[in-house]
Amino acid sequence: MSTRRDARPDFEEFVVVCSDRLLRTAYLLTRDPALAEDLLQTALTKAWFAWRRLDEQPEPYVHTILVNTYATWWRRKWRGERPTGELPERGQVTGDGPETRHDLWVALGRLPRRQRAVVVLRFFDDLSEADTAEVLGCSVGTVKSQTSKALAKLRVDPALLAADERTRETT
Amino acid sequence: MRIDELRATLHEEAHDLGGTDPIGPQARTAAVAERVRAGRARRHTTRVAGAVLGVVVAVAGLVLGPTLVPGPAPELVGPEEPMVQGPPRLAGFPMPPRLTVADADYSYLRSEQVDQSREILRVAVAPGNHRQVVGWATSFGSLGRVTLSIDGEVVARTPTGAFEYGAALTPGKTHLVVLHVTNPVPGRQMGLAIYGPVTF
Repeated sequence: MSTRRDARPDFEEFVVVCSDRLLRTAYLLTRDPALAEDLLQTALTKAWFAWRRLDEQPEPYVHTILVNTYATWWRRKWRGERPTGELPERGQVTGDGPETRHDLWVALGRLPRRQRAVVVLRFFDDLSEADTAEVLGCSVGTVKSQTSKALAKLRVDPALLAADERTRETT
Repeated sequence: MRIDELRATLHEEAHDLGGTDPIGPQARTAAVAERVRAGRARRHTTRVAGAVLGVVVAVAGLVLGPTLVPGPAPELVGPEEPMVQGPPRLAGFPMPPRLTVADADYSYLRSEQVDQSREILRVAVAPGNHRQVVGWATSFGSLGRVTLSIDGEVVARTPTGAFEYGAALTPGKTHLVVLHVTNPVPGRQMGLAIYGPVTF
């Protein structure tokens, strides 16, 4: 990029400093490493064109682009996710931690994309409800209700209910 | 499920990145630079095409204007429909003349529509030289869900009562595209649309 007539060294610095964190957010949203990289590069490209208009804190803006691109992207990328009415066959219970994590990860994958985005922003990126609302372009009330619905959905997810049952059986 | 478990899971999965190693920041910067270059080229092409069109319209106005102005206005004849028609409605939904999927533009080619009492709509798509994209729709007020299969593989399950698109067909191969509604409502429609690459 530095060979172009309007090189933006601060943009390159931003990519070096911030893109790893953004990539992880993208991965939690897409659940596919390749898609996550694609999503991140798409967001960074959009940010590059708007870079001169951004203030000194571009990360929230890029964050917003990333999440909104994901929200509108499902039509072109959903082929990677294979919807199924049946849960995958489970292996033997070998321990509490990894098993629970796997179940939770599976359950997160079943959340609608909007709710998944709220969960990632609130509990991975540690954004406040107000900041989450700003990133998603909705009201704080919507963030609260989406968070509540997402958590309720996770609690009754078959994978997690099965995990709870296993835990009860072993104790 | 506790919130701390949720946080821990998110952080651990994010840390693992699906067991893959991400590309480095330098490679990412280079990849973004390439996308920027491609985006600029597209914008430049659009601007040039717009400018050329503007010049053509201006020249045509200068050449044809004097010959048209003095004459009496001809009576309106023919249909009142626009000369260039958009795609027909699909299950009541106006289909866009163009779609953008994976940064590529596609234009409407054809569509098929049947009553939901048929339950299944099958469309064989002849092999194309380029990638094609499928759109599908069920009438507003339909029930259940709609399943889209390509060559026997379910590629989408979506709520009814909407126009959706995005399933891609690989070039050079005949595809059988099947749309199925779980709760057909006689009198309501279901339809498939095929979009091909924009050529101009």
